[in-house]
Amino acid sequence: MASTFGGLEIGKRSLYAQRGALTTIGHNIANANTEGYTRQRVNMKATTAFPYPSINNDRNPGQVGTGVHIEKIEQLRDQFLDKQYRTTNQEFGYWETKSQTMEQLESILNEPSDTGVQALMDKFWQSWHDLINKPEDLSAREVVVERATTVAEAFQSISGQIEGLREITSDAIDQKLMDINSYAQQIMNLNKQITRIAPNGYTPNDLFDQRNLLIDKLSKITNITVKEDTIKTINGDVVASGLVHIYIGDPQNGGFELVSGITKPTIPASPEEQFGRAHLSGVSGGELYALVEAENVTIDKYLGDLNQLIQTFSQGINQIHNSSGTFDLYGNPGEAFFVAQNGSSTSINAGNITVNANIVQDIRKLAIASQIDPATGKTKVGDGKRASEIADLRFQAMSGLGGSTMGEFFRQTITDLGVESQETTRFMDDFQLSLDAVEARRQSVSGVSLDEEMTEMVKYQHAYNAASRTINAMDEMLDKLINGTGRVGL
Amino acid sequence: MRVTQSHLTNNLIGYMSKNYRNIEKLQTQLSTGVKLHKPSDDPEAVSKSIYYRSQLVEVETFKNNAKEATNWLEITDDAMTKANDILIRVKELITVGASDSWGMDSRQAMADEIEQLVNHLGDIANSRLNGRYVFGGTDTDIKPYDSTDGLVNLNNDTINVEIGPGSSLPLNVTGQQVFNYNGGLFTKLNEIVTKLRDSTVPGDDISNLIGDLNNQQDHLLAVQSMVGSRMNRIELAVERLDQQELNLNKFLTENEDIDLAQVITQLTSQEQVHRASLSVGAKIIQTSLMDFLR
Repeated sequence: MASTFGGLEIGKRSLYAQRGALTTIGHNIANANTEGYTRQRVNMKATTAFPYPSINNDRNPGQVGTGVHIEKIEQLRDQFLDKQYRTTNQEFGYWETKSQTMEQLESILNEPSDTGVQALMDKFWQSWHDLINKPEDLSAREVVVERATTVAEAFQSISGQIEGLREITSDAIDQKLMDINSYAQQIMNLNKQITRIAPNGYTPNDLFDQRNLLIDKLSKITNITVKEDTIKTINGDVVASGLVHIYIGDPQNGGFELVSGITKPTIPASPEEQFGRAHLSGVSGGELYALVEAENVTIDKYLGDLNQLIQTFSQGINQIHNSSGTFDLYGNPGEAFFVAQNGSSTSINAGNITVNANIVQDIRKLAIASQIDPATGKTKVGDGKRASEIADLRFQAMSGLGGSTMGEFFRQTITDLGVESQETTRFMDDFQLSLDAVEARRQSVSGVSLDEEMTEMVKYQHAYNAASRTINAMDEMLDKLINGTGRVGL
Repeated sequence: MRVTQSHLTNNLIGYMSKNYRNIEKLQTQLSTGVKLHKPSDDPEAVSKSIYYRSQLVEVETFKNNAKEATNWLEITDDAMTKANDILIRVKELITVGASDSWGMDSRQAMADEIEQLVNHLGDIANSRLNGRYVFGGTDTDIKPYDSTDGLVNLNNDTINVEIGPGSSLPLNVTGQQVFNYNGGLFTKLNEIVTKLRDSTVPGDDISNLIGDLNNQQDHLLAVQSMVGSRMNRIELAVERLDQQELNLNKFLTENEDIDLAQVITQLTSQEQVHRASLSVGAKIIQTSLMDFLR
């Protein structure tokens, strides 16, 4: 038989439980917009019924319930979705960062336009034709030299901007490395806090959220593998996924262990413990990989193309201009037309190409004649044969460009860039969509719905009110019992 | 699937920015008139665009070459017509002068006139275009003819003009070619002058010179017809280049210009979508169960 005051106890337990539920609802609502927050739910359970079977217990027709208690406050989270989210996030991070690099390359090359490299080259060739039409016209020479300078400056500027992009990329890599190490440190600290709390039987839901959020962020930066240890209470119950170990790369195959439970990274982190440039070979995904790839592959590819173009271009012109059969207006053989900034005519690239200063200062040194009068040594001024050979270079298949003409080669470079950039953007959009889809699914499991919380709130509020009412009823019963019984005849 | 408020708001924000992106793209197309702004917009079309532009400059260059060449050939042709006129006049004079019925005074007068014509022919040989001697070969700065030394610039080099990729034709005819045929025109004329002034030379000897002059004239006409055929070739080239320019401009427009009607229609429908999403979004994010709980 239940005790006299058992009813009050049931009411009290119910009040505690409903209030606990209402508090959790309040917590959910408060965190409805918190990044990484997972909604929590109170698991209620009926307390042990009374009585237990024993030798001398009374014979009740049945067990009487003893009320309710909160068994656990749990998170609604799907670990599979977390994993999916991180894989997708890594891909998205890679393509997003790559698309930024491609976008910058596109804007540096500035095609198609009336001021891009191709347009300047076209005008350069045109000026040679004008010179062929008037070989003895000094102003036509001036125009050729001026257009050549413009072409050289355009290539220098583009090459400089691409080198600038490389520097920015390198800075970004350092920044990402700092982020990785900082996240690792925070994750390790959270690991520590979790290990202190979990064995006592509590589930540190909010710490899990913080840790998961950090892992999500890390997953965008690089390819990580997450392994979790379980934490057990003293009596052996598994409470929670506890310590995490994070590897960059494959843990079985020489991956870098970034976070090892509560022992790594150590404080203060020694340089070897930190994830740094020395470990980049293990990186194969995420923003960091896109940056490393940009620094080592993409930028070199396009800069290399430009260098190849400018080398073939300058060599082709120099070969004709700087030859014993080509004469300037003084009757001397021509010098190199294009030189590197240090004056060398052999190490020309897009970054250092410039028009030979001697020719800029004295346009009579522009050599376009193929003949001089052997008797007087005087140049035949109407002879522009070498100029037309130079102007014809644009139609020639150049062996230095794999048999393409310069125009074809440049267009191919632009097409490559366009295709790569287009592909990158498409992948980025695709992964954005799948990331959104995974996030939507994750939100559908873990996100706080205010309407739902309101409904639950009403539910628990009613239960709370009702529990109060049962206490009230008990109170009235006891009042009757205590104050109203044994007073027969009074 | 369980849908929450934040899911709805995130979606709204996502779709709104997507709408804005589309509108921005269409707006840029409308305000610039072209649909290609960077290689990734359409790599193949961008490559074509670059090619067409490059070709247009090329065509412009060759047209310009052709124009310069036409000027040059016109001057040449003109000079040769005048030279021919001179020869006709000289022949007339000789035909008359060969008759012995004329006295020495008349022959002297004729010789004087021919001398003047020789000087004039010298001027013709020294014809210039923009300061360049057209009959000077590649020594365009040296006078072909000097009144005391005769034909002095014997440069016989060709100047070529390009009227297409790898397609060039010789532009100039040299003084050597025109005036130095078969003993030389100037020498012949001077010989006539000398013979006219010499009273011992009988009229028949002089009339015999007409044959030589005819010879020279035939040569002159042959060279002139060569110049004419070059002009024809250049005219044909210009026609071809004009046609090419027209085509290239058409291709370029088709390749990169927007279809205004189409883009405006797209923009309007995009605007409708945008308005609808704003209006629906604004309604949805405002309401919640709280509006109905008392």
